[in-house]
Amino acid sequence: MSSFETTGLGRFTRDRGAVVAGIGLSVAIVLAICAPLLFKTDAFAMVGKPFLWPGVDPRFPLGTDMFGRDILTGIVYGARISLLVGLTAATISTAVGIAVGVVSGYFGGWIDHLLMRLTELFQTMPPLVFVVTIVAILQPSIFSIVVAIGFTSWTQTARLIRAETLRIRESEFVRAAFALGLSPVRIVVKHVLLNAVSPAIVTGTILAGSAILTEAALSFLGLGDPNVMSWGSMIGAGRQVLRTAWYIAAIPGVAIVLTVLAITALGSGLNFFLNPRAAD
Amino acid sequence: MTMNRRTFSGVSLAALLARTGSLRAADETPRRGGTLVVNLEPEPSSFLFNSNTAGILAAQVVEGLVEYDESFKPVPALAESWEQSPDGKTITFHLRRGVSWHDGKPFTAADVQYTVLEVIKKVNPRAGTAYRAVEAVDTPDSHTAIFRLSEPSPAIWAVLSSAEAPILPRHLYEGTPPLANPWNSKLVGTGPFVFKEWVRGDYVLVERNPTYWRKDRPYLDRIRFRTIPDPGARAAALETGEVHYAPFSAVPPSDVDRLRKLSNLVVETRGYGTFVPAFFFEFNLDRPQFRDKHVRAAFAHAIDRQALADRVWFGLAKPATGPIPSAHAELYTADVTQYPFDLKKAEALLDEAGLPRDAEGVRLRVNHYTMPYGDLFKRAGEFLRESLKQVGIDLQLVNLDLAPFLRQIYGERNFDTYSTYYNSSADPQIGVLRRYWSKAILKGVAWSNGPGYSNPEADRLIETSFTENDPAKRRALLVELQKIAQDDLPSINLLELQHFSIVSSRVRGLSTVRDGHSKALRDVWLVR
Repeated sequence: MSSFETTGLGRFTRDRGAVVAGIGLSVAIVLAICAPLLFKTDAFAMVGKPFLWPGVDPRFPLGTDMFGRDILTGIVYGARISLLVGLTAATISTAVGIAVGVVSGYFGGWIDHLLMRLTELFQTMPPLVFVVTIVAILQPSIFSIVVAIGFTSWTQTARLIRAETLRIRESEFVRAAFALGLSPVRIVVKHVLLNAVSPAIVTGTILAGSAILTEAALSFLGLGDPNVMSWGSMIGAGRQVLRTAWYIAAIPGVAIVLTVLAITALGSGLNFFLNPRAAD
Repeated sequence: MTMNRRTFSGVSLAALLARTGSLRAADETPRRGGTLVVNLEPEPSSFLFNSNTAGILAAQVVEGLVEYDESFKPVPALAESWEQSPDGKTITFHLRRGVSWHDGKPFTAADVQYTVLEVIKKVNPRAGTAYRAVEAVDTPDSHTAIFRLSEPSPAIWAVLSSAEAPILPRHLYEGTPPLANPWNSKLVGTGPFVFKEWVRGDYVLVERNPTYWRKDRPYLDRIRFRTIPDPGARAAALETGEVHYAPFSAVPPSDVDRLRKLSNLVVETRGYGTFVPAFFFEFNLDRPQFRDKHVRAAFAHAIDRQALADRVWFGLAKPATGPIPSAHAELYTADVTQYPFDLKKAEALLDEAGLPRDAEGVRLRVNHYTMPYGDLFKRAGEFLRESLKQVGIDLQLVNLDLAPFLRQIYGERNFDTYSTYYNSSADPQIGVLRRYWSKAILKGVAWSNGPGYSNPEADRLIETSFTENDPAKRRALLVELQKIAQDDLPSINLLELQHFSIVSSRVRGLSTVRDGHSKALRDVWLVR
C-alpha cells in the first residue's frame, strides 16, 4: 500500500480542473510578484493615448483606459492586490475561525455559549455592509480592507471547526489522551486541531475567493485604497464609459472571474487531497 | 430663389446649430400646449434655497424684482423700473401693478419689504452677504419699495432675480420661520406656472398660470419635473424622448460624446455663467513645506490642466487662468501670472528650493484629500498624483465622505493639500473672494479660506470692493486682486468646469443667457 502522500497527490492530480487552476494561479502569483521587473512604469502612469482598444497598439496588448493607462500593467499590478487581500484576509479569518471553533467545541459550557452567540451576532449582519462600515471608519487602505474582511468572514469556519471538534472530542483516541493525563493544550493542538484542519483549509480557499470579490466590490464602490491599482477600481472607473469602451471594465472583470474560479477549483482539489473519503 | 420649405428650414436650422448651437429657429411659430418633462437631480427637499435644482423649480412659480438679459443687465420683472441714488445707498423700485399671487391676493410693496428683510437677508446662505447693508425697505405706497442701505453694495445688482431673491407672499409667510414654512413645498408665487402636486421621489407638477401678467405666456400647459436617480436610466429616458430636458450635467461627462451624436438630442453648455464650478488645488500654508512660493509654483507647472480637462472631464471644462471665471466678463482678466505646463521648470524650482530626489526618486511626500462629490473628483485626484509623480512629488490620496472631509479640512485643518470646487455664483463676491480673504479663515466653517491665506493688500482690495459702487473702479480693485492671487499662489486655479444640459431637439425657446439655467421656462415650447 502506497503512502498517504502519494495517494493524496494522486487524488489531486486526477482532478484536472484543480491542476489547471493550480498552474494558472502559480503563474499569476509569479507575475504579480515580478510586476515591477516586467513593467518600467507603475499601473497609474499615463503612458499612451486614451481609449486604445485591445490589439490596436502592440505596445498595449490589452489597450489603454480613459487616462491612457496601460490595462495590462493594471491587471498585473491589480493581481498583487487581489491575491494579497484574498490570501491575507482568508488567513486571518481562518485563524480566527479555528481559534473560536476549537475553544468553543472543546471546552463547551458557558464559553461555548458565549462564543456561539458572538458568532451569531456576526452572522446576522450583512457582510458587505459590515465591511463598508469598518472601512469607512478606519479610512480606506489595504490594511483596513484586509482587517475588515478578515474579521467579518470567520463565522463559517468557526461553526465548522466547532462541529468537528465536538466530534473528535468524543472519539476514543482523545479520551485515551485525556486518560493519560495530557494537558488540554497538547490535546487540542496535537489531536483535535490536526484532525480538524483539513476542512478549515478547504473553507479557507472559498474565503479567499470571496475576499477577492469583496475587495473588488469595495473598490468598485470607491472605498478601495486609492493609492493602489485593483481590479475592482478598474471596473469602477470603466463603468463610466461602459457604453463606449466596455473593454476597460470587462478585462479586469474577466480577471476576477478567472481568479475566483481557479481558487474554488483549487479548493475542491485540496478537498480530495486532504480528505481520503472524498475520493469514493 | 426657390427652395422647398422643408429643405429650407432643414438647412437654416442646421446652419444655425452649426453657427451658434442655438435651440431657437427664427422661422418657427411657437406652439401652445403640451407637457414638458424635465429631469431634476438630485430631487430638492423644498423650493427655497435648498440646492441648485430647487432654484430651477422655484423659478417657475416665483419671480424676482428683475431678470437678467444677455449682458447680465437687469430688465423688468416684478419691478417695472428703478433708480439708484448717486451714493449707492438708496435704491427705489417701482413695482408692477395688477399682479396677483396664485391664491388671488394682490402683490404689493409689503411683500417685497417682508421678503427682503426677513427672508433673503436672514436665511439666503449665498446672496445674504450682498443684502447685509440693506437696513430698511420703505413702502411709501403699495407699489414703491425703497431699499435703504448703510453702505453701497454693488453685488446686490447680481442677485435680484428669482434665483437668489424670489419675492414671497407676505400673507403666507409672516410670523413663521421662513425655512420651516410648510408653503415651501407647495409654493405660491406670481410666476408663469402654478404649483400643482409633489409626489416625493417621483415628480413635481406645475401648471400654466391662466392669469399670468405677461400676456400669451407661458406656452406650455404643464411641466413635470421627474426624479431619476440612476444616470444610466436618465440617459435612456432622454434617448427615448421620455424626458425632454435635463439640466445640471445629468449624465457623466464620459457619456456626453455618445449622446451628442444622437439626432434627437442636443448638448447645451450655455446658460451656466452664474454657476461655474471653479476647481482648484489648495495648499495648507501652515505646513512648512509650502511656505516657499517656488514650491507651490512647481506644483502648478507640473500639472497639465488641458489634459486634466480632456481626460477627466472629457472636454467639459477648460483651464482656469485665475480665480474669477471668464464668464464674469466685466470683472475677469486673463492678464495675470500663468504657470504653464513645464516639467523641467517644475524640477528646477524644486531643486532651487532645496528638495532633491531621495533614493526612491521622491522629493516631497504630501497627502491630498479629494473632493467627496463622486467619481470624477477621485479620478482628478489620480490625475494630479500622476502629474506630480513626474517631478518627484509623492501625493498620497485620501478619499473621504463629505462629513469627515469637511471636518478634516475646515474643522481640524489637518491636511497637506486638497482639491475642491467653489461655485462662482452670480457675483464673485459670493463665490470667489472668500478664498482670498483673511477674515474667511474660519476654523470649523465649511468651504471657507482653506489654505489659511492672509495678505493685508488682498484684504484691502476685497473689503473696498464690497462697497465700491463705481463699476470701473470695482473692476480695477478685483483685477488687482486676481493679479495678487496668481502671484502669491496660495492655491492653484485648475479648471472652470462646464455644466451642461441635455435637451430634446423638440424643445424650443430655452434661454442660453448667462443665468439661463435658472430662468422660468415660460418661453419654452415643444415642436410636434
